[in-house]
Amino acid sequence: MAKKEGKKKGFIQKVIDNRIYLLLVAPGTLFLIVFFYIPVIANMVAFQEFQYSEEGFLYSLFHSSWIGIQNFKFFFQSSDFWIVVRNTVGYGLTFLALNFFFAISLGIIMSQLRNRKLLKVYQTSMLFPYFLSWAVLAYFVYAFLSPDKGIINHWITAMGGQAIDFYNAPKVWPGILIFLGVWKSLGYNSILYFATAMGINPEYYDAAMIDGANKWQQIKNVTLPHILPVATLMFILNIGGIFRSDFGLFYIIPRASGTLISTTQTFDTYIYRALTMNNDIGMSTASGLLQAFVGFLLVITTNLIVRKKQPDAAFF
Amino acid sequence: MRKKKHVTSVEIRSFGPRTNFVFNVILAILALSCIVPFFFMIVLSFTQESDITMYGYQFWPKHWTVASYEYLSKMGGQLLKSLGVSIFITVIGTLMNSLFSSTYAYAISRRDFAFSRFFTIFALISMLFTPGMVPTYLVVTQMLGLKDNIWALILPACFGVYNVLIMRTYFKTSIPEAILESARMDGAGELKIFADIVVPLAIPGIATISLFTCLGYWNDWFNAMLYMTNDNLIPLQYLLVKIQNNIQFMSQQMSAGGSTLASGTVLPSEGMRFAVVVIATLPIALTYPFFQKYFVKGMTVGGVKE
Amino acid sequence: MKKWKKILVSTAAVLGVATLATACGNKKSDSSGGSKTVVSMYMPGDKPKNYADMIKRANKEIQTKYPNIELSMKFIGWGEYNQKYNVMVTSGDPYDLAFTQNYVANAGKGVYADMTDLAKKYAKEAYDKVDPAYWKGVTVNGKIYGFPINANVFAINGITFNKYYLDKYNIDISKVDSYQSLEPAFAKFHKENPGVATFAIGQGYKVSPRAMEFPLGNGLPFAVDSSGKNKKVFNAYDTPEVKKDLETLHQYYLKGYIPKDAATSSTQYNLNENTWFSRQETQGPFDYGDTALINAAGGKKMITKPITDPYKSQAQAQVAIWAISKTSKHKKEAMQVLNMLNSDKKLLNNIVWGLEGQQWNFTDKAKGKIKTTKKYQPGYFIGGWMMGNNDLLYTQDTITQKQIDQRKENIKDAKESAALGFSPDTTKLKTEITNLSNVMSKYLDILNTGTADPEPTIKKMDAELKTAGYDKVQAELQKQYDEFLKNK
Repeated sequence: MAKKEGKKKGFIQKVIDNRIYLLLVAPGTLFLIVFFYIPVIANMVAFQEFQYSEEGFLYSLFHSSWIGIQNFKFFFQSSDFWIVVRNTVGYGLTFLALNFFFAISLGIIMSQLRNRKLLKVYQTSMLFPYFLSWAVLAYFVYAFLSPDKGIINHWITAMGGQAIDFYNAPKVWPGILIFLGVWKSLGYNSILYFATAMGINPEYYDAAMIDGANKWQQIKNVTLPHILPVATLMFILNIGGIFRSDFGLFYIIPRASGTLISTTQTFDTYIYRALTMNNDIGMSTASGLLQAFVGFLLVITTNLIVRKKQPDAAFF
Repeated sequence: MRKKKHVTSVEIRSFGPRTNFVFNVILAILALSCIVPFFFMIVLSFTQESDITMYGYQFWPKHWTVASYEYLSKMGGQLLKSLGVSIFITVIGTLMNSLFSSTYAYAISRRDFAFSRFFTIFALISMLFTPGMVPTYLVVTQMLGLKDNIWALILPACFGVYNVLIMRTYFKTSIPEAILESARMDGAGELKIFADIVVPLAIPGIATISLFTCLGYWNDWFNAMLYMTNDNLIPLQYLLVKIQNNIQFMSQQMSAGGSTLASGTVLPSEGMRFAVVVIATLPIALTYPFFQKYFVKGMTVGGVKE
Repeated sequence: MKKWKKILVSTAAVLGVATLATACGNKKSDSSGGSKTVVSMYMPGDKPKNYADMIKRANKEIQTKYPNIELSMKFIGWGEYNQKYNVMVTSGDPYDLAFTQNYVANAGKGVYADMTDLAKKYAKEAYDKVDPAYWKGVTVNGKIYGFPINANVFAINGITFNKYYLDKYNIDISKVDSYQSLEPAFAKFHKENPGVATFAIGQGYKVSPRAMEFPLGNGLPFAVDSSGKNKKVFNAYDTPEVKKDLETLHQYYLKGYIPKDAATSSTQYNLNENTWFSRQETQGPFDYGDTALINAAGGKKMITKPITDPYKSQAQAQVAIWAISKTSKHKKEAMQVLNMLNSDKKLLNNIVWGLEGQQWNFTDKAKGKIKTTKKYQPGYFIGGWMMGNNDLLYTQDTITQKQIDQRKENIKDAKESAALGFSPDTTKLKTEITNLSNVMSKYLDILNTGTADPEPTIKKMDAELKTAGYDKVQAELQKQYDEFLKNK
């Protein structure tokens, strides 16, 4: 660090000059060291044949033998490999696009709403699903979809139709999962954009109105540009998570049904199904690293593109 | 004076009456769809147990009962204790996280901070990799020695890189350099500038990250599972998850032919689980208006200052 | 606008107080340990409501023999135990005693302290009281890594019927001895009362072949013949017997005897409710027929008809095992605690039955007969099957001497399964087993609950198993099994 930074002034002098800023970053830095940089070193077990010893974990970590990428192999050898990749990336991209679209739209709409009291009611209600875990929501979904006792099948049979066995019908699940995923976090996701839109100085709107801009033009020329930096930030952050999926949504909501695997199996459910039996630290760490690696590549690429177009919004 | 200003600003940014009505209807439907599951939980918490087994989950049960709540009132002490723990960790954790994340974000957002790039990347790297459960467990239990200590529920989330990035963007876009410059001209020190000028301007941003953090702390049960064996220190969400997992485990044991294995354990009923959901959700959901106030307030303050 | 400063100052104040409070709290818990060696014991379940009294009494009893030991039980909810246990084991947490999960795999990895000598040295008394079948069952790679709880050394799977419905509709079950023979009873009940689950099974249910052992657990298809006639390691789902049972269940499913959502259902059919007509249960000698089941249901009458043969099996030997962490600092003391729990009547009974004078009283102290009081309620005792040697347990006065003699007789007469002691080493098969588990997760529930038509489904499953490496694992297991039989 010293060599890189200290060209004109000495490093020590620089530290002294920046002491206030250094003080401000101190708690966060300490946190990152303790809760990230120290434990993250243990990721090296992904490349090891982990051996337990009486001296504890650290000793084992530094005395286990290296086995290269052996721990990564199981995933690539799996016959489900392509299904898993397709589902994980497919759902990831769909959620990325839909969450963005709906959360930003909703955030802007809410910021423009006249009825402040009603708005409070709406926003509070929309936060409720965020608090209900998937395990709890699974009961709610089941009340609708149960093959013999479900509400939807009651309607269908009452109208003379044939009941659908939802938990054995893989085709209907992409729709159900995407709907639920977007719906659950919509209220939560829109808050950030709502707050950002609320922070825009009213004078900008004044100016736009004087220029004769209608509402749509105001949103396009004033609101959206102000939301863009936050939106870009969220985009870069979220694209790194494309190879991660919400375990509860994909495992608990379909009630872990084996017949639905072709449309509900994602990387996280695959890991869960494959590794609960043997609880192997090497293999589970390897799968985590794999996700991180994909995310890392995506973030770097996106950031490069963003830096060209919008230098201020880029990470680095 | 202030009130008048507020009203005009509302009008400037609002829809016309007709658009307003249409969006109101849409939002009302959306809000309703979000609140229905919660009502469903309330109904289920009043449903007789055997009804659920025989007829499935219904919006209007055949037999009503308050058994779940009677049972919960019997364990009232534990419930209150857990509520206390939840509130304590949420309040303390949120304050710490908002403070540490904001100061970090402010420093790296300043162009005159010589190490800004280093500390930005230092934080960013942590978003890309996950340290894993086992090593984190070791850090908390052995390095920090926090087993069965309430700080084990607070410290692992008392700083958030997500929050840092949101605040960094906020500081970069919403705090005019000119104001800071003029304060510096007046001879104010950096800390004073941060405290007296930056923080008041950043209240909507801080309110946003506080809200996120607050929800995160309230919903967290995983840390409690890892670090707590003392019933006095378990938060409400973990209590809920425990009941849930117990039910799941028992029903699986039963279908595997082990109905007698769990004798000795109190069997929680399904109704009870929903009763706890109701209790664990209501208080936190109702804090939202408190945060929302600051989104709006911050705007007016920002307007005056500029 | 100085409000936030006030917030900050008050936070700092609260932080200070809180730190102080926790610091004090810590000191308190330290001082209670005193100069004694605290042995920590992790187990699944909820903390009993009378834990404070229970552990006080337990420690008093332990200290009559080992004055320097203090036992501390740590309870982790049933549902979370496995997850937390895995973290503790992997991180090398220096716990002293823990109720094991996945014993063979973990022992193979080497996470436990070797007990082979420890047990004989510090727990000789308890060691000798355990049925030798158990010691065979917990031997991994020639060593003992865990202390088994001597209880139901053999067990049968049976179909349990709800007596209330049997009487109400006058249903005859005397001929039930297999899945196939259930048909008349099921048909009659389903006709009379289609609203109640005829055969109450759900997700996780496994069909029980008459005499098979699953060396890698019944989540994987590998099986061996308990009777020892067949010396092959085979795919259970390819045998005519299992295929026939699955076909029968599939017919029951189609006829509506099995709940339509069984493959994904986690519905609780509570024992004491009339929401079910029949179910599958596992029973062993210490259950005294249906007594344990009836006790668990608060007195509700039930009748069980066995459908499998009794064998002292690997699975039964590994029902409840306690192990000492390799990293434990008090291995000797932990072993001594196990010794007490498995040899001291007073200690064990004051945990398993609750407290004397509160949850139960003696009716005949000499014979070890007791009567439970009204305070004998869930939440005031810990299940006996996981705590200590069941031979030491007092019996309720309703259990006759004849029943007890019968129990001893049955245990003596039960045959040992051919695979008792066969704990395969799977370290070289990690990749394959991972992929096989994933394949099985698709098929286990739909096959075992009768949801899927077995013929085509098994064909599909076998094809997937093959690509996942079935043959390699089978060959390796066969090699190890041959070796095992040779050295027996």
